[in-house]
Amino acid sequence: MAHHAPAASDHFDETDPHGHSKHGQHESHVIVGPFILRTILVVLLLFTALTVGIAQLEIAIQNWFGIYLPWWVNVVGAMSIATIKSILVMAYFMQLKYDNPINTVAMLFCFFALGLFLLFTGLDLFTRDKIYDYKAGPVVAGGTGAGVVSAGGKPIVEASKDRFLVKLAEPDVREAMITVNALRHEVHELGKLGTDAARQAAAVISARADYLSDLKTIIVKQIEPGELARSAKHLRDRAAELRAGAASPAADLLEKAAQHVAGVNLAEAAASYSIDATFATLASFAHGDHGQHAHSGEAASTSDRSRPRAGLTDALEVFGPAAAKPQGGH
Amino acid sequence: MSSIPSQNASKPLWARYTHASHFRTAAEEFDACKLGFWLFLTTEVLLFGGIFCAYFIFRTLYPGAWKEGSQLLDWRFGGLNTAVLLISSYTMAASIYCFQKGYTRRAQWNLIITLICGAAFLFIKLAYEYIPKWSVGKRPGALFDYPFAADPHLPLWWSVYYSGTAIHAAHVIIGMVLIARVLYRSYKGHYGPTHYTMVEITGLYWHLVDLIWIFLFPLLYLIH
Amino acid sequence: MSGHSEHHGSYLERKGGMIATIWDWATTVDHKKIGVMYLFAILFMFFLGGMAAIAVRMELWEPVRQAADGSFTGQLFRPADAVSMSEGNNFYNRLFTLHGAIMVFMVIVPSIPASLGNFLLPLMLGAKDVAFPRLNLLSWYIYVFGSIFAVCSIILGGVDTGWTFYTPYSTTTDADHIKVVLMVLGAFILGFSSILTGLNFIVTVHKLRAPGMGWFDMPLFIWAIYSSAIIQVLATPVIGITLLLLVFERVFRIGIFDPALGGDPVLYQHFFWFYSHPVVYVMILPGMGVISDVLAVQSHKRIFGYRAIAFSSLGIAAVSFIVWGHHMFTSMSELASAVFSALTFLVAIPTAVKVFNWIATLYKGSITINTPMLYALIFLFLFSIGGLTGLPLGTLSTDLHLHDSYFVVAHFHYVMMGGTIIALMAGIHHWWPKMFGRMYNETGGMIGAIVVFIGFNITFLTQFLLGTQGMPRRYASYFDEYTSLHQLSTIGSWVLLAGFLIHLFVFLASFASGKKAPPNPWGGLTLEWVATSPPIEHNFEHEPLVKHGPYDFDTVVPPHWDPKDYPIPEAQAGGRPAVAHSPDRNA
Ligand code: HEM
Ligand SMILES: [Cu+2]
Repeated sequence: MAHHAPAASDHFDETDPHGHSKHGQHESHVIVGPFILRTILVVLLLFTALTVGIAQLEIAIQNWFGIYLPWWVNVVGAMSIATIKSILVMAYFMQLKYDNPINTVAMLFCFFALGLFLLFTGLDLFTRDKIYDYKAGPVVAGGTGAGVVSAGGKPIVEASKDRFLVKLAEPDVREAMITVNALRHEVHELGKLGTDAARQAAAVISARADYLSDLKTIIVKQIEPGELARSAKHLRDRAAELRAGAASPAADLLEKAAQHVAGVNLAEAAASYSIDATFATLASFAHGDHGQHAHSGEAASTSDRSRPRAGLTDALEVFGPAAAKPQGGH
Repeated sequence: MSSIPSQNASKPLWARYTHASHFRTAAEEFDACKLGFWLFLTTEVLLFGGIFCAYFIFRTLYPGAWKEGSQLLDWRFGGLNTAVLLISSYTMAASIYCFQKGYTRRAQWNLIITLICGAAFLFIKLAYEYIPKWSVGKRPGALFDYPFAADPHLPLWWSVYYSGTAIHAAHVIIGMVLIARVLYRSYKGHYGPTHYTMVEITGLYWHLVDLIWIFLFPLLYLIH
Repeated sequence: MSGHSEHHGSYLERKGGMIATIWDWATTVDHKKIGVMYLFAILFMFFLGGMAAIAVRMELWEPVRQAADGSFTGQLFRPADAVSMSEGNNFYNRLFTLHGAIMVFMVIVPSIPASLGNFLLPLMLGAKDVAFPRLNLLSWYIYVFGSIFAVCSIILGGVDTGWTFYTPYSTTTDADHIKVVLMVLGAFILGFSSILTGLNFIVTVHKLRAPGMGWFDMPLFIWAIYSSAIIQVLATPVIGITLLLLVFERVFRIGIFDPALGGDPVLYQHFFWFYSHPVVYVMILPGMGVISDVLAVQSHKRIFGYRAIAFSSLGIAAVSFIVWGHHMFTSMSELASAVFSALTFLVAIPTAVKVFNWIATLYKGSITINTPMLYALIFLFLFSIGGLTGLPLGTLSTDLHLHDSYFVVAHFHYVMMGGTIIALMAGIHHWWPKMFGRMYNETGGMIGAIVVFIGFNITFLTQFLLGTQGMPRRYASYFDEYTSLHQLSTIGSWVLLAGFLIHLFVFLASFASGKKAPPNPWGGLTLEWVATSPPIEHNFEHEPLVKHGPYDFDTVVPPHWDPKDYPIPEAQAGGRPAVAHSPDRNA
């Protein structure tokens, strides 16, 4: 490296150029003698034999005794030996032991960086199979709410809708709904009479219909036959009251309603209705022609079988305010 | 360690060596060269770090392929090559010792043995490993054409194997070139007890090549 | 100038005729000449990359549309034989890759360390040269060699991979391998240049400090260069192996990055960013160093929190190795994303430490407003925006929206251009008198700085808006809604160009007829101001002896200072004189 003419160095005091110690300079010329070097070579070769031996032993144990060691045993063994070997090479052959410590520091830093490289790359690659929920769908301002899930993994809202559909399919529930709509039809007819008494009767029937159609009643309480009977009795009582007051057309209608309620045979209905028919019925209610089917539920079950399965919204509308105001069925 | 320039032409080249003028002493120059070269070695370690990382990732992802792959290698050739490299590392270190002591002849012989070991390593690698394996279709990636593979990821094992060992072999070749250069210059009398920086640095490089192999050997041949 | 310079010529002195001079420069091992050669090479590359940038912005003036008759609208640059819009777009892809690759690998990464760093490091340390002068020249040639590879690739048609070379695109695009392979090898070779420069600097700092200069007597520029050299040495080899594997993948299909063979394309991104994130700090740390020095010297005030700034450089270097995953939030596992996001915020701490210290340094300083100072202030402003916009990018939820959008483009231009290039401009002006021995026109420089500042913000502030509104990066076409912001940005690029042209004229004028520079025009205390302007070949007449800190403005009179030349703060004027060089210590 003698590319510069020897120049200003002669006036320079060599003893302490940096203002710090001079000792690294002498130590870097330590001579590592042949005895140490040969010993290290022998140790290295022995370690090589050892690591091969361990690997062979693992295989032998498998073959002869059928014992399968855990996979990491040989990995840890072989890597530890390799580490020891490399430390020996660096310390003696490469003379790090006698060298300026800064060289060791550089090497340690580099192993540290290598460790970080492996660690964080592994962190990604080995956890790649975990879920990607947040990439599932389009983003909606305020969120879709779909993230709130119930036990089955479905969004709670969807799950409750499912539960409701199952409930709807049960025959007595369905019957009750048909009854409700029959009652509402009566209310409509009463409305046509236009008299005070008729209006009173309509209010009575309406209240009953509302009671029966109450979502909670249907789903949670499970309408039992007794409920219908009680409703029929209530209606009959009112009919009697009206008759006593000589408002006979209204009383007739009430009587009819009462008969209707009382006449529902849940068990029979259960046998003859399919869930599809129920949906079809519900759908037709929602589409405004429910009056017709309220009177002829049986017909609906056959003629509307071909209709597509109505959506849940349609079904729900049966119970909603819109349905409470019948739109003139026929 | 005197660095006073001498004009005495009868002295050998190494004794006439004067350090570069921007260093204060020859010792300081020697120290600086070593630090610089150690820094270079860290870059070499990290270069192989990429290979080690790929090994680590795919070994964990596809343990079956790695087990199968390492069983397809013959540990005897790997072990032999390890021994060859270790011996060459020893002779390299010994040659530095001889230069330090002024036994130039012995130093040169040690360098020659080192060169021979390097060549032996390459020969074993090529003749007993690369060529037989390649010819039966144990090849990397899309070139793979070995009909008896059990694990679908075996080609990837060969990719890591060939990339790692080939880059290592390239380092062996570069190391041999450096050693040959030092040998040539030693015949011209460049190196002696007070000046052997280049030998030392070449030695460091050669030991690094050994160091990498110390890890590659168990990773590729021994661990199932 | 002192009488010494009659015996020792300036390093710029010509050695004989034209050929002899060229030969002298081409074979020089003088760190100053190498630094100047790097400076010109980098500025030339900056010019090439800048032209590509102007072209990219022109292309974005209008969204590209294909009319019914097969003609294009809005596409200004396309190969003559392009028959479809996708072929035209293909050309656009090559254009921005050209811009990105040149700017990153050939301009920003080497910019400050290789040019100013090479020139100043030994001067500031009081050394005659870097530790390995011939290695230094070698890295310059490697730089040129690597650049030639890249330019060859461009001449053959260029690549359309983006500067990041993401697989599987980079392993499958362009059926002929030659272009991609040439470009990738070019980057690989440039990496070597970077490594060699880095290790040269580390050794120089360790071994060649002037007598009396402890670690904490070093100028902060040196600390910054040292920290970034550590990153260069530790991170660059990984890009080496990455690019090598990419070439293997491309030519032999070895499958490490190919999912069809069990490999993983995102593994490539890990490899790439393990290098490329740390390297963004290689880009910015030297810039921070320049700013530390310029701010202290131009406000004639002891830098606030010397050790905090020095250690935060090391801190940034350390943290930079564990945040690379923030470039892959959209492709990594959730766990890794969360961890990397948390780690990313750590970077903000040492960065903010620096910014606060700089601002505290300005407080009550006697500030000279000149071009370097103006640029330093611009740096504070722009870099803060760049750094702060890094935070929403480091936040998982916001990054999902902003990733690969113009917001990212704006972010990294604020840090790389608003940070590194602005700091380079500050540094060039600050040390221009030292490098070339001539003053530049202060008014011209300040006008240039202001125009650059305005142009920069018009160009890139708009891009933040484009990004948040959803404009993705790397597209030639866009929805009409974006047109006006894109046009504003393009206009900004012209203003920016005008600013740099002003600087070009100022520099040329300085060469042609600049005033002779005094050795210490700003009143700095560090050792480079002890040397003559321009320095002599071996930097100093006598080896300097350091007896005061680099920023002891309150107690030390600057070297070569004459009350007639320019005023310095009263307190300082009463201080003890700087010791310019070591007396004959053998006596
Ligand atoms: C406070 C400090 C910083 C933080 C938290 C930060 C964070 C980020 C994040 C998270 C991204 C990825 C965005 C995405 O692709 O979705 C990014 C991109 C980028 N950053 Fe930074 N950054 C910071 C400082 C810097 C600095 C100082 C530089 C360079 C001088 C820089 C250069 C870049 C570049 C070049 C990219 C884009 C790379 C590409 O995809 O092409 N950043 N930054
Ligand atoms: Cu980053």
